[in-house]
Parts: sequence; structure tokens; C-alpha cells
Amino acid sequence: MDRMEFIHGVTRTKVLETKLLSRAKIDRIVDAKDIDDALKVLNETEYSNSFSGLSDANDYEKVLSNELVRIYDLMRDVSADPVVVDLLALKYDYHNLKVLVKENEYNKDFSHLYVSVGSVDYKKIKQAYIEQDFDEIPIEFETAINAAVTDLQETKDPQKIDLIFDKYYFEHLYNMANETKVELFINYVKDLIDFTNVKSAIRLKKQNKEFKFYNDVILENGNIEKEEILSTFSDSIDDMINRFKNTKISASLIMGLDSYKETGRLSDFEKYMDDYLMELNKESKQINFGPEPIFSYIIAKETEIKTLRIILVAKLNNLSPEVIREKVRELYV
Amino acid sequence: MYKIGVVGDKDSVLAFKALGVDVFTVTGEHDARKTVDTLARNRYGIIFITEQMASLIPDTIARYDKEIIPAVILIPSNQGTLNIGMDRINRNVEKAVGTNIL
Repeated sequence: MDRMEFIHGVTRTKVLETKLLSRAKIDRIVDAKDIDDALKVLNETEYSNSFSGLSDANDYEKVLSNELVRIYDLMRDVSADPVVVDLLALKYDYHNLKVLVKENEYNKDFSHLYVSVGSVDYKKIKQAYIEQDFDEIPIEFETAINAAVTDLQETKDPQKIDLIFDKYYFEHLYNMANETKVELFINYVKDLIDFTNVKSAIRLKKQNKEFKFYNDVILENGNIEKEEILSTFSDSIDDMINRFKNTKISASLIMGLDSYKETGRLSDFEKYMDDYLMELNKESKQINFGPEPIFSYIIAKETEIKTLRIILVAKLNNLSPEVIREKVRELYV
Repeated sequence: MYKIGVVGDKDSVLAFKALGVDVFTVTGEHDARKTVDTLARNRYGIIFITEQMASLIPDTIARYDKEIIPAVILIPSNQGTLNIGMDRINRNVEKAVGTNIL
């Protein structure tokens, strides 16, 4: 990857960064008296491009998904190498694959659940699946689909579809990041795997799953060894805090685990994870030659959309601004 | 076989999907009225509706009080109860046994 190729893209991204929502704007949306008011504030920002066709405040989801599509289209244009965008778009591909397999195995129509921002057009994947001709799509997708379908025929357990695709997703993602040889991308993926593993461990513990299930769900390639995570099988939350206190992500992890211990909810854990990953990306702001700023901008934008979704749902359900503010993510700018 | 339906705002009723009942999300008075009427026509035996939505369409709810099927049952939404549902049960008990034994 030639870092100099990205000069033009980085310059454009720097301009786009100035349009990200500021803390003050977010505060105004949080303090809005109802969802209509909140959307009015949002319409004054760069989101106004995505407001077309909105007739009812309950359709706020449309604005957010329009914006996501807009950003991915834009960044594909900005980035000199598509892999920078693909790294982040890959999760949508695997989402589409899950929908596709479920749709076909259960003969349902889930066409409204597809997301059109994946690295490969989902219609193309669908076509390949129906015709069983996988030449046009990445080999990883084919392997994942076959694994999921075979397993489903054996176990008849639809939950396994998600588990299998998630596993293949992280493997694919890790390989993709490794190939770029960009430190930020590799670190991002490794930290993401660690957080995901700890989160899975807690959830499995709560569901009293057997050890074999752990073994199936916990991912490899993180900074924390898979064996280390697996040995939390009989740990209490305190044991887990002790066990992970010397890892790279320990500061955020321990805050997350602490709050889980107190509240029994994982929502704070997820917030700390998002905040950590945002901090990791903030270093890209100092970079002028290279793909990092483009990658980080997309993350900033995705986090912003996630924050807005939290705020708007909270507004719709009349939660108080104080409660909402606790859930607002760290911003990039 | 009669079916069971749940009517209300998205965040309150979505979880009912896990129970296998049919979930209908509505956003306003007009929507709610139309949905309840359609369900009643389509062999739904029990219609659960959130109190928030029901309070917008009292006349429609009252109309089904006089019918045997469907039974329209009020449930609290995720924003807490308005006590309309419980009041109705109390009133019905009073009507049935002559005194409020609850």
C-alpha cells in the first residue's frame, strides 16, 4: 500500500471531519423537548442531505440509514484503495449473508433486512447463492455459506447460523487487516476481537452454557489468547477483572466489567468499548499521508450514527436528558 | 384457531415477537384504530394493546367491549402504566360479583 496515494483522499477527509457533529450539537439534540425537535436540530447539520422522503418522526431510522449509505458511497470515492472501506463494510456483508441463508432455508421474505453498504453488492451474493455459482464473490463468503448451511442441516438450530458467520467474519476481517500491514487496522481488529470475546464470555456465563459452546463461540487472533478467555469459564466477575488487569485494553475492560457487576447490564461495557476504539482512532488525526484518517473518519461517522440512534430512541420513549447523556459515545473531534 | 395480536409502539411490543404472537407497530391514533379493526375482522381472538395507544382510541376499545370476540386487553407500555387496564379489570369484577374483591 503506497501511503502517498492517499494524499488527495486525506485532504478531502479533513474537510469532511469539520462537519462531524460537535459536542454542543449533540447536547442540543439531547436537550430537545421531543423527537420532532431533535430531528429539527439534526436537519441543520450535514444530515439534511439524508432527510429526503421523511414524513413521520418515527421514520428517523430512514435518515440514519440514508446517511450510512451516503457516507460509504462517498468514502469509496475518496479512498485510493477500496480495502480501507471494505474493512469496515465487511460486517454488513456478513449481516447480509445471515439474512440470505435464513431467508432461503426458511422460505421467508426478509428483503427489507438487507443493507446496501457491504463490500460486495448483496444482490450479487444472492444471485450467486441461488445459482450456486460462487465465481463472482469472495471465496471466504462461499466457505462461510457452505459451513452455515451444512451445520443447519445437521443441527436444525438457527442460532448457529449467526455464530458460524460471526466466526468466519472475524477470521476474514483479521486476514484482511493483516494483509494491509497497517498497524492501526491490525490493532483495531485485535482489540475488537478481545472485547467481543470478553463480552461473549459474560453472556455465555449468564446463560449457563456448557464448555463446548464456549469453545465454538470464542474467537482466535486477539491479543488475549483464546485459552485465556476459555479459562474464564468458571471465573466470577471479580476473577475476570483480576485475570485481565494486565492486558492492552484492561482500563476500559475493567470499567466495563465493574459496571456489569453493579448493574447486570452490558450497555456500559459496550460504551467503554466504543470509547476505547475511538481513542485508538484519534491518533489518525495527526497523519497526513496514509489510509488511517479515511478509516477513522468512517468509524467516527458510524459511532455518530449509533449515538444519534440511541438519542432518538430515547427521545421517542421520553427518557430524561441525564439518562441519555450517560449513553452518549466519545466523539472523534 | 383464533390468533393473538399485540398492538403498540415499536419499543414496547417488539419483544412479543419472541413469544410467537403477531406484532403490529403503530405510531398514531389513525394507525391504531385501523390496525385494531383489521385484526378484529381477521379472526384475532385476543388483541393486546398498550394503554398509551388505547387512550388515543377509547371509542374503538369501547366498541369491542360489547363483542364476545375479540377480547381487547390493555397492557402497560415501556413507559409505565396509566392504570387504565387495571381500572377496567376492577370495574368488570365489580360488575360480575357486585363488589370489588380485588
